[in-house]
Amino acid sequence: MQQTRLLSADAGALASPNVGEAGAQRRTAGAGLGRALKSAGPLVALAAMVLVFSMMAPNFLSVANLQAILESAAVPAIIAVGLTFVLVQGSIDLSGEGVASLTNILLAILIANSITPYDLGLGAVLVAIGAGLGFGLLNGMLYAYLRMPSLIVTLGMWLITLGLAALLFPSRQPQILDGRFVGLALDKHLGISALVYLAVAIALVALVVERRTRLGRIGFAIGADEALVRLAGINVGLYKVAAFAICGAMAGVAGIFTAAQIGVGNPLAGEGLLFPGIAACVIGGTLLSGGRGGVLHSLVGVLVLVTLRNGLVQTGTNPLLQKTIEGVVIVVAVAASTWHLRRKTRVVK
Amino acid sequence: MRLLNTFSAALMAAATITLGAMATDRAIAQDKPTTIYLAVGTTSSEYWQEVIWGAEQVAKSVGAKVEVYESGFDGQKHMQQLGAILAAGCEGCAFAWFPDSTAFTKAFVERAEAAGAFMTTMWNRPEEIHPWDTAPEAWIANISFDGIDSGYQNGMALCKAIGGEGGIAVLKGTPDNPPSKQREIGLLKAVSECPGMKILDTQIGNWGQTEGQTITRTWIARYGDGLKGIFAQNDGMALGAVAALREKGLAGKVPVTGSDGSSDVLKLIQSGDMLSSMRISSHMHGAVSAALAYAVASGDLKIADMTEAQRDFFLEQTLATKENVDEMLESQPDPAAYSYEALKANFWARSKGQIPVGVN
Repeated sequence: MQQTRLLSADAGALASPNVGEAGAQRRTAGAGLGRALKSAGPLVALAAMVLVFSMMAPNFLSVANLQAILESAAVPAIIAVGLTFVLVQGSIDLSGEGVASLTNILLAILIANSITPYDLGLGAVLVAIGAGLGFGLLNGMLYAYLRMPSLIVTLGMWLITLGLAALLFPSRQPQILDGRFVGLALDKHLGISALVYLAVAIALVALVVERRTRLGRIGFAIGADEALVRLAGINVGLYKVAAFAICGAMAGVAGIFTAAQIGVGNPLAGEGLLFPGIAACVIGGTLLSGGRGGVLHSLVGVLVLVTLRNGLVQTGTNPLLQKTIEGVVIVVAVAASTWHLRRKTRVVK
Repeated sequence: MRLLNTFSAALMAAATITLGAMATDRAIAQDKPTTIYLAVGTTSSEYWQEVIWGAEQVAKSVGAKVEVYESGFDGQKHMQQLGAILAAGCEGCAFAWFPDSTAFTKAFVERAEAAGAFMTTMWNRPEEIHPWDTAPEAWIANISFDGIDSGYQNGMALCKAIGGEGGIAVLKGTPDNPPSKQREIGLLKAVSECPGMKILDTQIGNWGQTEGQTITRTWIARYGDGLKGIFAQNDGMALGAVAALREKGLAGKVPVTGSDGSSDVLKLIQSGDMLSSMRISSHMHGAVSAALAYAVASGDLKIADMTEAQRDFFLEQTLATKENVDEMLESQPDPAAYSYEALKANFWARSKGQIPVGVN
């Protein structure tokens, strides 16, 4: 069935290549502006939000507040970057909160701390990232090779990792005593901590992977039409596993960043990371059905959410109303960024 | 025919043995429970670990065991767990239960009553129901800590630390929780006695470290030097606030208060990064809740003999400050003080009185 469709499409193109090409060129010229507007939508929303908040609160645009926004965006950005690789393939990873909690407590008990005698230094960081990567690989393999829905596999992994974090918890929160590690959050360069620079660096690497490698390009293709990619003889499973491995490693890094920020290990440290992470990706224009969006989109989404939370506090908005406003913004932003797709029957997986 | 007779005789014999065994089991259950069922919010916090430790000391001293049921603060999960325990037949069972929110308290105690079990509850009791008017034969007691006292004492410590003058910001827990309401009432009482101390802003941090940190970062940017102190309704959010202040080199310069008295916060008070925290006797919370449930289930204590003040009370707590924190950090709980025999001498020795009207 797929094959017949493909063949007939090829035949059509061969029969009148000029018409097809010219048509495509005309379409690009017209759609170029539209597409630019569509992908700039979230950015416009961000700019509008900044404008409104800066008019309402004089301190909003102060250097100190912009620094505060960047510091608060570092961890959600890492989570969103990881999720993007999975979402563009049309899959989902719900295990981030559990994985981040696990790597957080794992790091805290292996680095110099107030409870256990271990002091692995950089080794602790590597073990924690390794754990995140490992659970990501496991997610990917169960999903891609056992053909289980990613929603269920990663839901299970969420509970497994959260349970392991509780098991590792030594009854008291270990205080992290490694000065260099805590310094990642405390030592400032141009008023900004190393964590923010690291987050930016990770996002840049992710961007290169997305734009310049097979992994990135085939990820989009899998999300757009997996059957087509399979027909091209590409090992789809491998790319799926890779996406989940990246996502798991990023969740692991998020747990490590949280440990540096708070300075203690907490087996619930990942709580509250997942839904803002997914919301940020979607607000930025990454579709849950896959094939569209990307790292830059998701980063804009993160900035929208973090700026919103910051602005609501800066403007003294009633705290009981804040969650509602956050929800409204998410719904409106998603409606606006996917409006042009409403006629297409895109299944939300 | 003969075969049938033999078969039915065997069946009768089997039934008699089974019923007999069940009857003996029930008698044992009514005499001395072998299990204390303990519900906790999470096992991933120091407070709950200490509650479990307290309950285990009681159980160990009478040769029983503690079964811990964790919910992740999800009341529905505790509901399912309780349903599963009761379904197996649980007349005379001993429950020390944590209702995840006030919405679940009534349902838990009524289920225990229907099954003929006995239950003590921790923390969350709705204002309008009490052990003596709701499931009175099953709901032994509700045991909590005085949040108003916590809010007031921390508020007054903050007032003193800022010299009675200046703006403070408030990190609030989950708004519908009695401890959150009580700590707010207590703080407002302190503010009324310290008129120079003004509340600049109140934000909901949902008891979380990360949320406390993010909100505090924004406050530092918004108020700058105008932010003289931070009142956090629990230790988790206080830790987050201290972490945000530390990022700006302000830890120890802007006083922060918390509530719970967990060991990591006590260390921050010792180092001067934090001002104060209300140290609750969490080991005792678990021990007294378990001991009362065991006492009634084993017949050592009759619910009918208990006064209202003995069925709805606060346990003792101490404000941790720089003055007493060394001593607190050094002292280790003595298991002997948490044995059933030791507590039985007077279950209410550590009570700070009946929970007043209007605070839940």
